[in-house]
Amino acid sequence: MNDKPTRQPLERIILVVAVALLLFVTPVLYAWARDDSPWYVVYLLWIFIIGLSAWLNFTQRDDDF
Amino acid sequence: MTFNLTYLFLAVVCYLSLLFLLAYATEKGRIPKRIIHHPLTYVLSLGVYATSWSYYGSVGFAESEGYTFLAVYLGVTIAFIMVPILFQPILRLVREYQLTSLADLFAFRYRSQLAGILVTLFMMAGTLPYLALQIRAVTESLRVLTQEAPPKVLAFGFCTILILFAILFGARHISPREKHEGLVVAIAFESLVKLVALLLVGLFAVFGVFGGVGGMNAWLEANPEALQALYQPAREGPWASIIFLSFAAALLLPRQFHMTFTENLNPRALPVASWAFPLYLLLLNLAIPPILWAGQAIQAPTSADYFVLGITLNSGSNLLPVIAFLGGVSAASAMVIVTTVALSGMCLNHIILPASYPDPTVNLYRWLLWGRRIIIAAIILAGYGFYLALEHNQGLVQLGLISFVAVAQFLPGIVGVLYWPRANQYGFLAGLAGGGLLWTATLIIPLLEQGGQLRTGFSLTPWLEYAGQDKWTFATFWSLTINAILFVFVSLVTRQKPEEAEAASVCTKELFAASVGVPRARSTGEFTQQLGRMMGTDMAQKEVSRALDDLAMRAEESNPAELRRLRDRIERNLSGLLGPEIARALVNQQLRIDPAAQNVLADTFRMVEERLEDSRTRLRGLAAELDTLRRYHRQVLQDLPVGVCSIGPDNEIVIWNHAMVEMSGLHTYKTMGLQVGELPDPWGELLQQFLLTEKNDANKVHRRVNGKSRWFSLQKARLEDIPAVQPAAVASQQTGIVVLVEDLTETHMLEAELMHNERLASIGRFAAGVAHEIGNPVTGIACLAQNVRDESEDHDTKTAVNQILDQTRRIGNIVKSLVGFSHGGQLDTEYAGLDLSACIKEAIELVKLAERAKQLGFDVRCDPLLRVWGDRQRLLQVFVNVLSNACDASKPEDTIKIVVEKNGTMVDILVEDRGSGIEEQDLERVFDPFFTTKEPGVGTGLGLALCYNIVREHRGQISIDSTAARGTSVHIKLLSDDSGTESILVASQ
Repeated sequence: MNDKPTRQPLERIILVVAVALLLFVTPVLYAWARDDSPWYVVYLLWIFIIGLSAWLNFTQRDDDF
Repeated sequence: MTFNLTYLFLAVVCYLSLLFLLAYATEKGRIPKRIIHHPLTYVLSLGVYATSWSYYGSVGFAESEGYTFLAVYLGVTIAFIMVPILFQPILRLVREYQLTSLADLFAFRYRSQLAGILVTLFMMAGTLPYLALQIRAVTESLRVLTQEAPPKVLAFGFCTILILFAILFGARHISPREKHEGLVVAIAFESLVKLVALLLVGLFAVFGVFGGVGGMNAWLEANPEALQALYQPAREGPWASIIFLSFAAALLLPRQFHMTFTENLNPRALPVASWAFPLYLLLLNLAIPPILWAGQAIQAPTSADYFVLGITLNSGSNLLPVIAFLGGVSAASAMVIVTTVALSGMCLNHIILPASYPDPTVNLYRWLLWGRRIIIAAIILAGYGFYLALEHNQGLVQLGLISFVAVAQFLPGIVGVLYWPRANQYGFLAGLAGGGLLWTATLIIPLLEQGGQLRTGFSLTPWLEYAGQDKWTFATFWSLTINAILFVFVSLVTRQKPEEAEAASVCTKELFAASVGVPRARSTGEFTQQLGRMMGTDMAQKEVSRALDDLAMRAEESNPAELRRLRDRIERNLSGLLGPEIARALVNQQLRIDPAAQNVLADTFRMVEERLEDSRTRLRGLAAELDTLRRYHRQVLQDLPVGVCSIGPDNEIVIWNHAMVEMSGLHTYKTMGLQVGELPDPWGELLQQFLLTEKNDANKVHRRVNGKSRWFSLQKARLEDIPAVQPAAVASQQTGIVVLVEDLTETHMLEAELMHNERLASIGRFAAGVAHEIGNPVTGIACLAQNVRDESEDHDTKTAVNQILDQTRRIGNIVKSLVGFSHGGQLDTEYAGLDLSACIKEAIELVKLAERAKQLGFDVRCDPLLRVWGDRQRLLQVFVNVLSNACDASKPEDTIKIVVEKNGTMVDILVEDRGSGIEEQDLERVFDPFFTTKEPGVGTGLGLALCYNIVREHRGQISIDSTAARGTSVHIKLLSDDSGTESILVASQ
């Protein structure tokens, strides 16, 4: 009952997973996995997803799940 | 540059010795707990995921499949984002039900020993070649550094050291409650070593080979095909399939399951791992492309699988190749140790124990511990056997991915565990069998064909061409599709067993199932005795004591509902030792449930409450609102100033609120689930008698509670509609009853006091009138009688007149008493601080004037400095009256005890005799005027009534407690001299 209406951890997890899937297993892959892309692009995308995951963790309460 | 084999072997021995030392120091408490339990230690221990495949094979995989090698870690990253909804529910189940492996989890959920056996065999089949791969990686790395084939005895020596380590630090305890901290810290250290080693090699590749980042970029510009070779396979290869496989592997690989759940030392570290573990994997893989390009640039004289070592041979340093080599050893050894420990538990619980449960005379703890250790040795040696058989035939990645596809077959099953209560064991077994067959056909048979161990003529190529897929995508897609279809279809067309439905509800937390029935054993002693038949008395005693400690329960506990909880706890604890199925079978067989006993509703309520408490903050929307409403109603019920006791259809106590606890002194947890008749007296008898009456209320029911009289008012109402938590009760039209119990003792006492005061007032008025009306004629009679005596000379007349005068004096005394009583002490009172001890002594002296009192002893315990506030003469009158009564009741040679104690602003005076006592029915009336238990003519019945008035005027209290057996105690409370109430008393004069 103390939850603010904006606190929706499950939805946020699904959102982050969806972003990860979008980047890595959809045709978006063709946008960054081009032959002329810098070699570290995949690592940048990876660390972006890790950052989102860390953000989820820091904003999540112990008893959300 | 080449290295001496002995030198390298010594380096391995030194490194593994360091590992032993670290694990030993941890077990001995030399390493602070805050380090052992730190989330970073946990995250590093999860690094066991990265085996020699990651360490060496990633470079080879990158060369052949480009960035597809990263898919092996991206799937893990996606899985770890879902820690709260995927990992935490499993961790909860594993900890709560003492499950030690994936086989335990499936056997528990699907209530099938066969499921446990199949999962174990499948794990073994998928993992043993992978173990061989680790041994091969170490020997191959030796070959790279020494430029010669190492003797097989070195591989055997390596395996022997790993066996020792796994036995000493991975099978130290048999219970999953006692974690292997040494193992966790050692594996975390190994992860750190391989990360540092790989980063060092990566830095050497960038700065040592290319001369810096600029040099590497320049090389890439000059060789654009190198970058193209990385990106192209990611677009065209089995990228998505491998992401999917690694997603499953993050959760289902035996070593991952073991470190993530079984050896989890700190549940709060898991959320941290959701981002920190993927970050670890990213750092580990950051060095792979530079190492690949460095190997290609310098044309290292090894296969790409061993570029990690190959490029360091050009460094000119003796140290870097050894560090790189030890990094590989750490990756391989960690995997072998943890996988073996995990598999040994599965084999023991699901293959060895079901096949040969030991005799009860055998020490089962020792049997399990040594059984596990022997299995550890056998598994590592089997891995060594595979190494000998498979040597040189397969790449590092090949066997790793085969293992990944194998464990991915458990994915439908795990979805069933967490999210699909309808899934059943038949569906799980059918799916696993179907998926396993496809896995064998698409990956294992071609592997054996390729290695020449099998010749069937079967070829996968036409199928792959037809489907237009690579073999990993083909094998993953079809094996999992068949698996999932069979799982769902068979689950839908077959029926779930009741115990499976119960386990399903526990796992999904969506449905609710309470434990039904109570154990036949009625005491913890019977538990020990019955369990002892299967596991020996010593072990049974230890297990019962452990379960009692876990539940903070007394060994004397006999409440059936509590014993049911104890039985469930024992089953959970045994599950950690023997596996869930054997534990369940053993407990079901030995601690039988009584089908006739049904105290289900109380247990159901308690479990629903516990479950709702547990999931309090997880409820959302309407469920959360309803829960708030439930809490409000429960609080109202609990805090009602009236005792509420709800009795279920089977006559068991379901609700026992705070007021009932206060009234009875019986705690809720002790009464819940008890039959009404099992409550201690007077409650059991009171409630049972009331339930039997047809009337719905009973007023002022008198009972003695703890030796004191109490009056209760009871009301009852029938509950026609039992909530749906127990559908059976509704179906059988059974009803419950709610009883309200009100303690009327205080009200009754106030009423009695009021009545007493009214009586005193009316008698006072009456006495004043009588004294006036009788006093005057009696005075006249006395005067006239004196005249007659003075004037008469006749002896007989004088004698008669004297008798008349005696009688008139007696009448005069009675009249005086009446006048005193009617004035209520309002006259001639003089309040002041007075010496209580002296007052009591004076009263005793006065009482001793009577012949009877001279034969008695007086034991006075009073502080001579104690002072009370009051009128000395009137208080003297009180003590004389009370002591006279005590003397009259006592036998010769008895002692009357007077104990005085200061209690705050009051002084408590206790006058105690060992005399004849007062009958219970007379106790209420002793302060009534003219009430006396003495012979007619001996007492006026005004003494105690007068005392009562005087003490009340002094703002004090007087009460009497008496039984015929132990005499009478008069309690008098008076204001102390220093109580500051002088003004009140003076004002009241």
